[in-house]
Amino acid sequence: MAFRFGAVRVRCQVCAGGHVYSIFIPIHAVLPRKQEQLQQKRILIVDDDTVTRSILTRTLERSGYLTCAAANAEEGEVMVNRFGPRNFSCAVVDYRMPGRNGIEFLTWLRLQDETLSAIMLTGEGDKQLVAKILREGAVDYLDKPVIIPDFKQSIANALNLTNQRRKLVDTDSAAEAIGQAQLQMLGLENIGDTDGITICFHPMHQASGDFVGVFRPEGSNCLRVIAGDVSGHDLRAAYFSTFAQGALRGMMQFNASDQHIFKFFNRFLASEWNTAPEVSNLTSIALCGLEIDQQSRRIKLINGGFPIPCLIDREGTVSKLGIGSCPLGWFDDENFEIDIIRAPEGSFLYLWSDGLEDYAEHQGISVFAMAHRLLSTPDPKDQREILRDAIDDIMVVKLEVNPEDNTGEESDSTGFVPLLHKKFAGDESHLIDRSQHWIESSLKYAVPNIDAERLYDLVLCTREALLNAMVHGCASKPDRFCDLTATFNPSRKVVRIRIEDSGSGHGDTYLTAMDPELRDPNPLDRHTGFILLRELPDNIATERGGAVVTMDFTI
Amino acid sequence: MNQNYDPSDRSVQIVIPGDVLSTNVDSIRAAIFDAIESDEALQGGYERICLDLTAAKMIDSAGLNLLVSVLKVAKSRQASVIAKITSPHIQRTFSFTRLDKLIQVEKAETTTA
Repeated sequence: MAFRFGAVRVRCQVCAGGHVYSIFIPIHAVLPRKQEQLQQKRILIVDDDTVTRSILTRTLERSGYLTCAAANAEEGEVMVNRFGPRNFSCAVVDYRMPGRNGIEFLTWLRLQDETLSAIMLTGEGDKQLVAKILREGAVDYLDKPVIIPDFKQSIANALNLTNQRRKLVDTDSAAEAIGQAQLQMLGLENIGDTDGITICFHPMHQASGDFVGVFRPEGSNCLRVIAGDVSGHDLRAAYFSTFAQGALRGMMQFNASDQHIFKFFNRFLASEWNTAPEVSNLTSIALCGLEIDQQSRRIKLINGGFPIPCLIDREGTVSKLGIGSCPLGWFDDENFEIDIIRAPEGSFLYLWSDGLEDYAEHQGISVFAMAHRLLSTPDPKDQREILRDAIDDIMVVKLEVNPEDNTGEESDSTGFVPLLHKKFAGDESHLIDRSQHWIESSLKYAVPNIDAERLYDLVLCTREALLNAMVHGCASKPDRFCDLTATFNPSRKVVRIRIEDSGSGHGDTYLTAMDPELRDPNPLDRHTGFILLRELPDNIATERGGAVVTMDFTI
Repeated sequence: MNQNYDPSDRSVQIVIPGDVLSTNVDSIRAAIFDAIESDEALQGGYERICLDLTAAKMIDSAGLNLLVSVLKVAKSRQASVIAKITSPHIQRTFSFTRLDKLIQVEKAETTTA
């Protein structure tokens, strides 16, 4: 019974009707019971020729395999359906059979389980047939009569291939399951439109090492945010990331403080998880915790190795928050300090994983331009297209400190977002072409529909003002710096460029003079750079005698 | 950079190969002044300096200052300056800096890159 895998075939002779009935004994009655038998590979043989079927069956059983024999495609289908394709490790199928032929059976079998390897038996010796057989997914073919040593070798290869394919599929499924769990734990469906939270989460594979969780403890004005990035890009990292997120969520629900959470996880990683002697197995998490009191705009920040969060005010000015400590899991005695910040009205926070910084650098654009583009692209399909060349998990979160600040009638007049934020040394004027390219690429990336003429004006004026700041403001010295920021107000469609140098200014009032005579742009008398700066922006303002230049461009 | 003196209309023809920016203005200046101060151009008594800027997509203030210098030299020799321009951005820059009042601008057809 075990030999026939529970199947008994009965041919009706009394009535000479020629019907064949297949009877199956319940599987538990016939399946091998011993553990070693359960580990044995099961092979399906489908051949209408009784002699061949019998020889192959005996050969395989003597080699220690379990077999299941069928006389035609229909019987083979019944067996596969009954026991499930995963109960077979290989199929040996004859090409020429009454009813459906071997290729038709193989086509059906591949639909049931793509991982199951099959060997086709043929007496045809036809090249075209062989090609067709291989196209339909057979891993090998053997001419009849079958030569037993060749048959055994072919079986071994087929079993090996099934095993490899199934391992891949299982790993893939596991990663998929972890990825689904991670997306569920993001709790995106719990974030409402009025919460002022926008998240772009783009795992590289099915599962990710990055995570973010946003929680609002009951009866509290505080919003708690925890963002992490587990080292490594393998399943181990994804698994730990999921575990960490779940554990963190639980600790937060029971009001554990961020400092306690950080200390607990750091100790757990350093003294329990990372006990393997191989250094390559070391797991660490870059973790950032934020507690935002939305009414008072007070932010408590704790950071262990995560990219430094940025606080952005209404004018788009960027402040980097805190310095932070080492990632969790490096040193078990690490002390995680808390920074407390009072955010201005209408401000928001940017929080991103290092994958975004790396990708922006790889693309040759500003990380702020990339963050804005991603967060203003609501469709995840479009986000995936933007990030198609990314080689790491990418996560960006924008959190309005108090969403109520940005509601009401005056909200249209608020809200500059940063697109460029970079410091240049005074001796970098020879690199201005490269900087110009970065500025132009970033602006085009952040605001893809920007008018070409306006972009030219923006780029040319930024180049002029930046060169002026480097050469005159910083006297071309390597230890003196100027800051470039570009901000964008999407509702007013204004790009604002601000360049500040450490010099004392040039004292020329031409740039901002209202007197028509003073404004005369005669290129024979005037510095042509000033003429460009005066004429191209919609508005220009200077401070400290020209050491700070601010230009607005309506795009 | 191509430059030559055309005695038939007493013009110095100079083709600028790309943008005129602070980072390459020195080499362009040297080439232009080599052409307009060449023996051939000076002995021929050139009356026009023709700058072919059709390959330029951007001219910054350093580039504009170079054109002003060329203009001043031309004026001292009672010669005129003609600039052949394709880029609408550069044409606009010439307009608001009033260089188009001092330099004769020939607008070339925009080529699709």
